[in-house]
Amino acid sequence: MLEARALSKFYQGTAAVKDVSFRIGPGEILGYLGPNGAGKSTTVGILTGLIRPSSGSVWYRGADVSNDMVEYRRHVGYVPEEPQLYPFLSGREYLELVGQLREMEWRAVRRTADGLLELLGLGAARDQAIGAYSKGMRQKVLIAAALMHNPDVLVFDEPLSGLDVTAALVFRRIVSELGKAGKIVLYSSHVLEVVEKVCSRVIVLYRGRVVANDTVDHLRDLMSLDSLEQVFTELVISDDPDRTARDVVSLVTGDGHL
Amino acid sequence: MNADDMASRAARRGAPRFRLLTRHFFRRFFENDLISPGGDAHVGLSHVIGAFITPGLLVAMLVLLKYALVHTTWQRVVELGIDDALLYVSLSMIVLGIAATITWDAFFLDARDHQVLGVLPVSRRLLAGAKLGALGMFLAIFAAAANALPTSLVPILMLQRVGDATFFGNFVPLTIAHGAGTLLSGAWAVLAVVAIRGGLAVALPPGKLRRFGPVAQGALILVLLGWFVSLPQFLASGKGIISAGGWWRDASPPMWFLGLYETIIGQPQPAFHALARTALGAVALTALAVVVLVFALPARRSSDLASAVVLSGQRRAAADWVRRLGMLLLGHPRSRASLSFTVAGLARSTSHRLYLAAAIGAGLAWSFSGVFWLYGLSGMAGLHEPDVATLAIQPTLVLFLVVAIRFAVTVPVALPANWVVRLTERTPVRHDFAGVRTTALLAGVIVVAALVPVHRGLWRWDVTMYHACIGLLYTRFIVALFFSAQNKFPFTAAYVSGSIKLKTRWLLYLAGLWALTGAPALAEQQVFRYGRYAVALPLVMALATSVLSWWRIKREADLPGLVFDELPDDVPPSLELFI
Repeated sequence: MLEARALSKFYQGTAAVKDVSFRIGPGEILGYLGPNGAGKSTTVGILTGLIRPSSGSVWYRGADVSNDMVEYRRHVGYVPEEPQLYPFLSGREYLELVGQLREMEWRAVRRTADGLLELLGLGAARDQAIGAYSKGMRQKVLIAAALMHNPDVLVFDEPLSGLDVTAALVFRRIVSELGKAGKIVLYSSHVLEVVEKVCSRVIVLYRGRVVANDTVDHLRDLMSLDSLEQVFTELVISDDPDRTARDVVSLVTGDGHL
Repeated sequence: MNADDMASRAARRGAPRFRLLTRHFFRRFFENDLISPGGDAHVGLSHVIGAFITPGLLVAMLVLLKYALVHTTWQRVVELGIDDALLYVSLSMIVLGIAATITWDAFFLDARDHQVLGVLPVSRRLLAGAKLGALGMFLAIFAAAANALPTSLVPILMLQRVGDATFFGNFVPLTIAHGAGTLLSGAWAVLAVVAIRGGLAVALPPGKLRRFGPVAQGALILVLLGWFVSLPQFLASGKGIISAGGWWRDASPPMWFLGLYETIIGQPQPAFHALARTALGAVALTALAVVVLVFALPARRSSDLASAVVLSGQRRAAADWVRRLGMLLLGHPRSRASLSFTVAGLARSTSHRLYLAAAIGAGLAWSFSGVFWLYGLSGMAGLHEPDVATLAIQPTLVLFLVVAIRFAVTVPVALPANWVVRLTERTPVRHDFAGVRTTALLAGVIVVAALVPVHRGLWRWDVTMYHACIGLLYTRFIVALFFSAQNKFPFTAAYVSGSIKLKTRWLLYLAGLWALTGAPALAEQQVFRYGRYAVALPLVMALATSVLSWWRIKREADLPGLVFDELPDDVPPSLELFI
């Protein structure tokens, strides 16, 4: 069980997240939703140990992870929102670096790295420098790096960014399989359609606070709406998207007025 | 709006856009890890200008003291001044040449320019023109910074005790000669460096340029630093070269500008006039070549650059060798990862390769100055005896290389990518540092091994092998000394310059350099000359290494963990070296 207890993070007095609490059990895939600036990436940073919370704590298997962050990180796999990688390493070298830093056996590192690169369609490019990779290829390297040590907790922050349709479909199924394998998965994304199909439960974050925490079906029933997109719109979007779109086009074309 | 209106609006828009782009390209000279990573460009610029002004002023004060001592005549000043003119011309070429070499990629449009500016409605001609404008700013600011103050001071200092000097007859020509000679020589050095870089871009495909470019940069820095260290010998032979004539004089760029200098102050020798013509012709031709190259060279397309970074078969083989070496030498997977990562970073990151090339260049230059001195003193016979000058080559090169690696690993190569190292952080940290230390150790071993055939060509086998063994012990000692308190993972930690101030502590550094290179060489000379300390020397070195290693292990046990940080806001941009 992974548990966030009353997490808050302030940047120069401004709350990025405030009093965020939730639990994710083994086999559960939690969708983490919210508009830009809602605090999703901050929460993800806290959960992975990259950001220290101003208050609150993260608990894993009944222990506060800040007591032994090193041990906790052994169990975490992470795909960040930005594909920041060392450009001078090849895809294979990067995975080998990560595997060795995670203290995996060399043979296991080689076998897993080569296998994952092959399965994710990077077999031919595995010895090319990452600097030459497209965004989607970098994303695949990140996904492979997150999975290669068979972690119990997986944190995905916009994992579909840059992936083509086939790769995105494959990834969706990977996430479902990970859930079935008993992994704890946090899936932060803007792609509501995927979240609706993949996640067993969703949390909606708005202005740093949790405004909904339930299963997709229950939320739909509760709000008498047809889709997660409508639920999301109802919860966090105060402006009328159609009207905003019309205003933007009017402004740039010079027709009409604001 | 008709076509004429649009054309006039475009013309009005053109000038501000040209200025904007010129300023933008000029700023890119300072987006350089070697100058001030993450620093403010304006503060960086003031430091750089300060660094340019200092040598000229120092030399002016030191060299020109002789003119203050006795009353003299204009003719005597002219005779004495040839060496000083050659020094100033050379110094201007060296300082500006090094500055241009360090930043040479920024003189041409690159993939980033293509990606960022290529999508904007800006013509290629405007971009190339702005690049030339930035080059003009570079020349104007740095050539002036290096030479303007000496140009105004030197004539005053040289003529202060000259009884027959007149303002228009002597002072004005001397000022013009100094200004023209030094400014044009520096400008030519910059233009020549830019032309070499452009020529390489024309001659080589992108992949080869990316691999060979830093090597050429390192070689140029090596040549310029070698020239700087050999300046006393060069200046001593200056008058001889002028009087002897021939190819050595006519093909030597500093002699061209000395000819210009002497012609302007009124020297009647036809040789100076011919050299002056060559100088002016060289400046014009090189400038023309640079204009043609900047306009003609297409911006490197991102696809070209992408193909350039595909790892070659040799690189993969080299990486495999490093990995096997790690398996052999290091027991822990994190240590092996650290070794592979450090070697890959040093070998593939352009800026880090430049650090190493500059360090090797400085080490070679320092070593060769001693060798030249010895050769001048006793010819080839002197080199065949193990003397301090020749024995110091090995420790000097090892020292410079290890210090460069120690410095380079604290400079981030892709700081935002350090999250993966942070996420996999482990304690204890000694495993991480073992890989970095092993990299430095291997680099030192390579230097020692590479010097064995050279030493064998000069000395007997027993002397060569003993010296190599001492070299290996010395490498261990130096690595233990410089890597005893490493607490940042290579290439991921923020580089904060100015921790040790070379500007104010250069005497201390000079003493340290002698203690770490001259003293072991002196001790070894005792072994070879008098048979003393043959056993004691390696024992002392091994003992010192053991003490340092013990202290390191103790320190590592106390370290809480690796230190990772993003670039802080308050990084003081500085040229001061961090060693």
